[in-house]
Amino acid sequence: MVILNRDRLLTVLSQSYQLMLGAYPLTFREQYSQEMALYFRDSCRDIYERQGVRGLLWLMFHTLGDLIVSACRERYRHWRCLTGGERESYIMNNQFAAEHPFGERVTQVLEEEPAYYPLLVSMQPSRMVAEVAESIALDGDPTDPQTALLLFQELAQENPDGPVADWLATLCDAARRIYSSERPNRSMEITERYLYQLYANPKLFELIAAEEVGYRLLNIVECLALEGTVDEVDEMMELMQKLAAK
Amino acid sequence: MDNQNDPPESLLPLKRAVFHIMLALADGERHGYGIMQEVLALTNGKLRLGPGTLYGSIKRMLEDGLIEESDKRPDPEMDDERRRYYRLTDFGHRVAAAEAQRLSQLVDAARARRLLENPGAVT
Repeated sequence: MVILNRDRLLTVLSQSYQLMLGAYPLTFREQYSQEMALYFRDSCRDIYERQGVRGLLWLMFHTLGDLIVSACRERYRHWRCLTGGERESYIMNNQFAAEHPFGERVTQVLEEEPAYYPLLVSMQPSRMVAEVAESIALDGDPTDPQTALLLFQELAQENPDGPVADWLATLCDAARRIYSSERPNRSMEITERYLYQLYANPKLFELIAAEEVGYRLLNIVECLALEGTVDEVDEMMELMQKLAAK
Repeated sequence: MDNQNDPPESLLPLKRAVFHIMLALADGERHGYGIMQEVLALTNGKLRLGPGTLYGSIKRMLEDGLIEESDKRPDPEMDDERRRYYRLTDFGHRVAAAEAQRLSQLVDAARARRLLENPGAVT
């Protein structure tokens, strides 16, 4: 009888805590709520075994205080993230989005539906939305949009219902459009190297962009790549860095 | 967000919860509840990390490249597969060592000013 009461009490407390987890932003909940619920359940069991109901009451107060403080903190960080406060340093990502329609679309969709961000980046933990959009665009869109399309289709099969499927369908459409309109790049390796170097040094991009008004970053990089060879990349970059220094 | 190329000192001083989590992970991977138990043991029961503080810190530490998720499961049969295990990265080790060094210098300074007894001193 005593064991039954204990189990019921712990179940009620665990369920209450799971409800309270709604105080955290959705993206945080999607990443950690399951683990946090397990953590709380184990803490309750442990403390009940050692200190009984009194210990359990103390744990509830402690956890409630922790929840209020940390939920406010996560909400604030989430709000800063949405309003761009944490993206100020990602100049090139924003520049890329502005220059590239697919990257822009991915960024836009992810920002409209931040809940789907964890789904897309489950393979890439710790990435920001714009960074993911950038890597998708770099990895898949300019030279091989089919890769992005396949990724989205695969994710869509795993999530056949609800808003996730709609969102993925939008991304699939964007990838298809790019895939049908752009041809594979002729010198992928050198282009990629240029792109990464340019992203690592925003000043270089600004220098080139100032010289080539009206061209997209990819066009400029393609021109550079077609004019040089892979071995010349580093030499070319050194030259541009000298120009940038002037 | 990843700071792997920054010098470890650029992240110092670490927040209390972060340093305790790093200490708990210094000798191997643990899941969240395991980390909390280790921190409790390290602090003689004085610091109990709440779930919000713990997972908020873990999120930030993952973003900073201080820790990473581990595929290893020390005892898979006895374990809940919903749990994730975490471990220090090489960069995390360097940052934890730098923080320990910083704190050690502070302790030395306190000792020099007789705020702390020398270890092993007979009173």
